[in-house]
Amino acid sequence: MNHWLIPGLVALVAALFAASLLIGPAAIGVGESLAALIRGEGEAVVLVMREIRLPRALLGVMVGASLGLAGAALQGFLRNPLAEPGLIGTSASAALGAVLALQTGFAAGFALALPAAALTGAVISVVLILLLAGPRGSSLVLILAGIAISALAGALISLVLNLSPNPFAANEIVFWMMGSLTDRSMDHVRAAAPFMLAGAAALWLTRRGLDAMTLGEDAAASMGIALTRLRLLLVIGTAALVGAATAVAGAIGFVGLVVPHILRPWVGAQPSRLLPASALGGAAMLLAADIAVRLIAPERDLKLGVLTAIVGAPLFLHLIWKTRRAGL
Amino acid sequence: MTLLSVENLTVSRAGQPVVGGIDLTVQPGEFVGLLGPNGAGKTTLLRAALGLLPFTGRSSLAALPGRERARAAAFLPQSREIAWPLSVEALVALGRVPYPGAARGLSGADREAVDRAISRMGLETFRHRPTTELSGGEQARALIARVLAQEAPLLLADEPTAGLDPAAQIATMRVFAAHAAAGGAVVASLHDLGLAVRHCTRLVLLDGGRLVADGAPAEVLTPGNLARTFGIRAHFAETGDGPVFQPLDML
Amino acid sequence: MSGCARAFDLLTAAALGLWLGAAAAPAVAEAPGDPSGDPSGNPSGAPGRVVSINLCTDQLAMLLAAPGQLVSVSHLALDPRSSAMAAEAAAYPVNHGQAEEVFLLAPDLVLAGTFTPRATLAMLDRLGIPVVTLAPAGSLADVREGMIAVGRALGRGAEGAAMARRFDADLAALHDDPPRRPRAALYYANGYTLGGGTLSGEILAAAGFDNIAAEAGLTGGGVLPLERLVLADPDFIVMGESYPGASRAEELLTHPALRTLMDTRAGGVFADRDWLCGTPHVLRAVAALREARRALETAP
Repeated sequence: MNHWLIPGLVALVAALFAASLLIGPAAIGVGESLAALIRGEGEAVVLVMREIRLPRALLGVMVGASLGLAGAALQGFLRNPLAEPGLIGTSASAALGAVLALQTGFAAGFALALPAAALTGAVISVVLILLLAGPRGSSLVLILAGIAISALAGALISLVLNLSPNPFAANEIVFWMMGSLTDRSMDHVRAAAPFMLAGAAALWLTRRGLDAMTLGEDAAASMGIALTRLRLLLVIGTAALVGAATAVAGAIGFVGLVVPHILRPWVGAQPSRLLPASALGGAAMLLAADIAVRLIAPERDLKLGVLTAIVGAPLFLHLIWKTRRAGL
Repeated sequence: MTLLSVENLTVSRAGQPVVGGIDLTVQPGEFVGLLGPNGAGKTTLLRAALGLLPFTGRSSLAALPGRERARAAAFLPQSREIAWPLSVEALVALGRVPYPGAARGLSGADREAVDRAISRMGLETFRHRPTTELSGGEQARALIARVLAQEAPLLLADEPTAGLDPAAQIATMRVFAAHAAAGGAVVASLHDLGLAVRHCTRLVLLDGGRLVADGAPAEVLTPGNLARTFGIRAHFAETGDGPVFQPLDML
Repeated sequence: MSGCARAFDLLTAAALGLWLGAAAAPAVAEAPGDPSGDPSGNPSGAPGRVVSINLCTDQLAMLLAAPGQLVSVSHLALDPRSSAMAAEAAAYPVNHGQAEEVFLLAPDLVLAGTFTPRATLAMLDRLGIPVVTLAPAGSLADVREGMIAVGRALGRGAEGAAMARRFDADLAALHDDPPRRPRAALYYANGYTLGGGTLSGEILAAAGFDNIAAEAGLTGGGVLPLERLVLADPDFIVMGESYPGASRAEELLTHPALRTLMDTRAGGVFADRDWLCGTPHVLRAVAALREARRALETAP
C-alpha cells in the first residue's frame, strides 16, 4: 500500500480541475479567468467562468468520482473485476429513467425530480443484476445480464425520444448513451449533489463488509457482517451515485472498470482502500476526458463516452482474456 | 462456561429435514471432530449453529448479535475463497473485522493479534506476498491464521484439512489441539477418520442428519457404527505412538 | 389439377404483362426541372393540376397559383410554428411528400425543394411527372428570384413578377439608416446561429442590426458555443420558439448564463414561420425586428 497514492491522486485531480477551468472555446487569459472566477471582475468573463466553466469542472469531479466509487463497490461486492455500472446496464437504466422523467414532464415537477427518476431506473437494474448473478457474481451471468439490460434500456430510450413531440429529441439518444458535460450549469450541480453525497455515504459504510467479502459470504457473515444490510447499502449507494451522474451527464461507461483495475495493485487489492482511491481516480479520468474532448474537437460536441470507451474497451477485452485464462 | 450449546436444531429444505433434532454442547478444552459420510449434514449443522441458515430449535451462537457472535466464534468455511490478491498480512488482518476499535486501520491490539497468528502458522516469510501466489497448502495456512487472528474462543472449521499434504494436515490438527488445550474449543468436520482419532478429544458422528454417536473415539467408532454409517470395516488400535485408525474395506 | 395450374400461370402472365405495359407507357418522361414542357396538352401552356411537396413552394404556390390550379400542399404548411400561411393551407388537401400519393393525385407539375429526398424525386421522374425544385432562399435577392421562378413554373409569370416588384418596394420602405447599428445574435437550439450569406442574416441586416456571427467570420449556419456568445456581448439576442416536449438541445436556451445575458440585454423570441421561407412574409420578420431595434434606441 503506497502512502503517496491518495495525496498524489488529490494533487492530480486538483491540477486537472484547474486545467478544466482554463480550457474552453472562448480564449480567455489565465489571469483574467482567475480574476473573474475568484474576485468577480469583468462582467462577461465572470459569467463564462462561474456559470459555464465552473459547473462543468465541478461536474467532471463529481460524475467521475461517483462512477469510480460505484465501480469499485460493485466489484468488491460481486467479487468480480468485470462488474461496472456501464457494463451491467445500470447507466443505461438510469438514462432511461431520466429520459422518461424529461419527456413526461415529471422532471419539471420539483427540483430533484430528474436525478430521483434516474435513481429509480438504476435501482431496478442493480436489483435485477443481484437477482440474476446469484451469491457469487459469475462473469458470464453478469455480462449477459448487462447486455440484456443495456439493450432493453437503450431501445426504450430511443423509442421514448422518437415519440417525443420535440423534433430535437430524436437525435439525443447519442447524448444519453454516450454522455457529455457540455453546457451544464450550476442547476445541474445542485440537482446531482445531494444524491451523490447520499450515495457516497452509503457506500462508505460498506467498507468493512467489502473487505470481509473477500473470503466469501459465509466467512463475512460469520465475522459479524450483516449481509442484507450490506446488499441494501450497495444497491442504494450505487443507484444514487450512478443515477445522479447519469441524470446530468448521460451514460458514461468504463470509468468504473478502468479506474479500480488500474488502482487495485496500488492499494494492495483491498476493497476498502480501493473505494476512496477509485473516487479520486474516477474524477481524474473524467476530467482528463472532458479536457481532451475540448482540445480534440473544440467546435463539435464530442461525447465523453467516446473517449472513455476508446480507453476502456481494450482494457475490458484484456480483462476478459485474463479471466478466461484463469478459467473463471 | 459452555462455548456452544445447540438444542433440538433442525434444518429443513423443501420440507425435508437435512439436519434433524441435534443436541450438542461444547465446553472449553474440547477438540470435537464432526464426522459423517457425504451428505450427512456436517456443513449444514455448522452453518446453522452460526445462524447462517434458517433453522428451528436453539443455538447459543445464533442468538448472539453479529459482532458478539464473531468474537465468540470464528468460522473457516469449506470453500477457500480469496477473491482479491491481498497480501498474507492483509488477509490475516481480516480476522480483526469484528473489532473496529481503532478510528481507522488496525489498533495496537489488532496488530499484535495478527502477528501472533502469523507466527503460529509459520507465515513470517510470506507476510507481504499476495496470497494468490501461494501454494494451496500455504493459502490454507493463511486462512487458518485469519481465523486465529479473530481470537475467538470457539473455532468452527469445515473440512480444514481437505487437499493438504500429510505434514500440513498434521500441523493443522496440532494447531487446533493446542487451541483447545489453551482453553478454547474447536469443532472441525473431517473426512479423515485417522486424523480425527489421533488429535480430537471427542468425536460426534452424524448420519442422515441425525446425531448417531457422541463421545470418545473408541466409543464412537465402533465396528457397528462404522458398518451402519460408513459401510466400512477398519483397523482401530492403541499403539505406542497413540491411537491408529485405518479403514480397510467396504462391506 | 393441371387445368387450375395452367389457369394460374395465365393469370400471372397477364398480370405481369399489364404491369410491364403500365411501366413502359410513361417512359416518355419529362426531365425533372424542366418547366417548359406541356404534358397535359393544356392549350395555355400552364399546368392544370399542381402539387406542392415543400413548405416554401407550398406558400409561394398558394400566393401565385390560379384558382383551382393548386391541388395539394404538404402537411408542413399546416403547422403554425413553421408555416406563415397555416390558415390558408387548411383549404387544400394535404400530402406527405410520398411519390405514391403524389402520383395518385395525377398532377401536371410537382413543386419540390432541393432537400426533398432524392429517392422521392427519382421515383417521380420514373413515374413521368414533371418536377420543378426550388432551392432554399439564402438571401433577400433569392426571395424575389424564387417568386419569379415559381410564377413562371405555374404559367403565372406576370403575377410572379408583380409580387417581386411589390416585395422590392416594401423592402425599400422598411429600410432606414439608424445612427448606430446594434449588434445582435441569432441563437437557436443546440447553440445554432446563422452568419453571413443566409436569409436570416440578411433579415437581421435589413432591420438595421449587425450580426455578431458574421463579425466572427461565420458564413452559413454553425454552432456558436455559449461561452463565445457571452463574451461577444451582443446588444440583442434573437431566439426561436420552443417546441413542446423536452430536449437537451433546447435546454441550452434556458442555461443560467444565457438567462442572465437576456436579463441584462434585450432580446426576444421571434416566430420562426416568417423566417424559414423566401416568401413576402419575410418582410413581417424585418418589420418586427425593426420595431425591436427602435425600442432599443429609445430605451434608457
